[in-house]
Amino acid sequence: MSQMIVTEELILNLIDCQGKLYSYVLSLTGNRNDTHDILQETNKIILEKAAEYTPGTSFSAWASKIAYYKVLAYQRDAARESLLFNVEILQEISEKSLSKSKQNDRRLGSLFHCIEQLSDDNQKLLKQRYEEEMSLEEIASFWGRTYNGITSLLYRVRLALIDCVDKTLQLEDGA
Amino acid sequence: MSNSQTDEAPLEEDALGKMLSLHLDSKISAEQFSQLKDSLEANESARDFYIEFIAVHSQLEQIHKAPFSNKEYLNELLQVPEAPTKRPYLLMMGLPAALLVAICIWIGSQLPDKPAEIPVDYQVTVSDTYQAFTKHDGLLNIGQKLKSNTPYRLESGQVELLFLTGVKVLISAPAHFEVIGENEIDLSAGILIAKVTTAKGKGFTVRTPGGPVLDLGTLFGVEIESSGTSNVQVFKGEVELANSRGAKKILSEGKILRGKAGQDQWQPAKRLSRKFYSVIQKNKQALTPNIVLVPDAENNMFGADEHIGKSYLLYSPASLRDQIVNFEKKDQRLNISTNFAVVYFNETSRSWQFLVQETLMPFVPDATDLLLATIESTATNNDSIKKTITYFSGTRGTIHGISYGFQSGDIQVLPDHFLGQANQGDFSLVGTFFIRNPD
Repeated sequence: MSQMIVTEELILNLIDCQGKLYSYVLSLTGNRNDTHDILQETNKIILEKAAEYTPGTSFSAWASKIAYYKVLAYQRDAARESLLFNVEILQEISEKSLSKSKQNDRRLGSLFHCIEQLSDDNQKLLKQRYEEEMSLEEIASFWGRTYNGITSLLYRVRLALIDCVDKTLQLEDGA
Repeated sequence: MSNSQTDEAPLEEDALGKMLSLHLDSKISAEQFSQLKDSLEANESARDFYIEFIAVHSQLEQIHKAPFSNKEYLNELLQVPEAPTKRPYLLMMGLPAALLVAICIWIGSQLPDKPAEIPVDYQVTVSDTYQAFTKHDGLLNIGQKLKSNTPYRLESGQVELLFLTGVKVLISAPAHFEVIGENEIDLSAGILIAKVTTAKGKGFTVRTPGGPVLDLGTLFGVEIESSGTSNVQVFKGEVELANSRGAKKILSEGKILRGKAGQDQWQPAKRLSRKFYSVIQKNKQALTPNIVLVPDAENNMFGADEHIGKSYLLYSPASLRDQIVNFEKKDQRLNISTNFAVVYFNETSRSWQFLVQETLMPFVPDATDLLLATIESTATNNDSIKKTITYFSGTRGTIHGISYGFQSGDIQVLPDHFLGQANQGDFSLVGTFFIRNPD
């Protein structure tokens, strides 16, 4: 490993932007396992290139650029049929995803609020899926439903949350 | 789970979303993946939807997992540089091994002799404000992150804070507060209402001059008076209070405790200030929409003196007075409750009745009326009438067309009591709130 010049600010910035970076890389790969690998590599590069970061500038923009190049490298090495996007579309997804991530904190706040509006059952469903990491088969068995039924329901809950977050933000913006 | 959500969803209408869901849940087939890929390639609006969907999915992961920022863990690393302890939850969240190793190397190479306290950020965000002006930081804005371990003096308005643990805190000016942990706040003046609805939020602590208030439930309020006296009321669930010697008390739903500064003990109290309840009233939609607050006034209710049998405590949000045409103005001087009354059901005329000018008069119940308790009056051997009151908390149903039941609360009927004195046949109401059953 090359010599690192890592400051406290950099470490805090890095920890602070992990959520945003995860969302960003996931949007580019669409695959959770690949995202974890890429994020790990990205963090390593960020620490190695710490000296190139200019304090006071947007850390997450700098880190996202490094992540983007890591995704491109991953695209280059991966089997073409396993990729969700070609390079042109990847560029478009990257731009839109970065633009959306500027509202990350606000959206996160609204999402908390929207989850609270869900029924107890639907909140439990999310908890089982995201916190307890139960498999969809386990969740379906818990609720006495079919596998297809539970995937459909999970989809509708996510859709309802997207709708709720959008409406909440529009309301806040006075639209 | 709701029966309205059928197992057979219309796949044609939202096939893209379904496929995205399958993809994110790692359950997509090769054929479906190819379809998803073609669809995203061909359609820009599909790509926009994809970005939105991924964003909510990854944020759901963030909300349901441990937060990234962790002061104790970082400080632990600073003090024990040789090897990071295994923290699976951090790794699960994607804080990769490379970062941990690098932090350790950095610590080992740059701070080998003297562990340093690094600045921390507990990621507490302003999620709502109303003219929230602070002494040193000016107006607080939605989305703004609060500085950790930094005192704030809220001079006007109110602010709602969102902790990464999911805890929401409402603070009303004038107030002095400081975020001192991922799930902890110090309040030395002002009013604070905490809403804890997530598993990670459990244990949320408010440090007060009277001692720490630790959440074991879902909704509670704290008021610190200018004298430093701390007051705590629980609306839902429970909280644990401790004094400086570590002695603990559990405060359950509806109960109030008061701790004078310097006296080191919590004592039961009847109610907090009018301002405290007005903050609850103004924010009830966000806190708990079904809460009904009992006004801080004498709540006296007329009763039929010689009545034997059942009567009921009625809550009428539309105001009973509006329904009683001949209600005399002079009764207002007697602090007759506007929204609560003792009512009777006449089995002969099959009508609800209410006492006006010593006479039982029929009234038409409103759809929003609610029966809160039954009062059973029985004659005793010594010519007096015994009244047994049973509250409808935790129940629901209908009695002769009026709904009954409520979730929780601290309201109580005092029989044979009026204007603060013993008075045969009449009633007073004490307590501060009740929470209606959800629809």
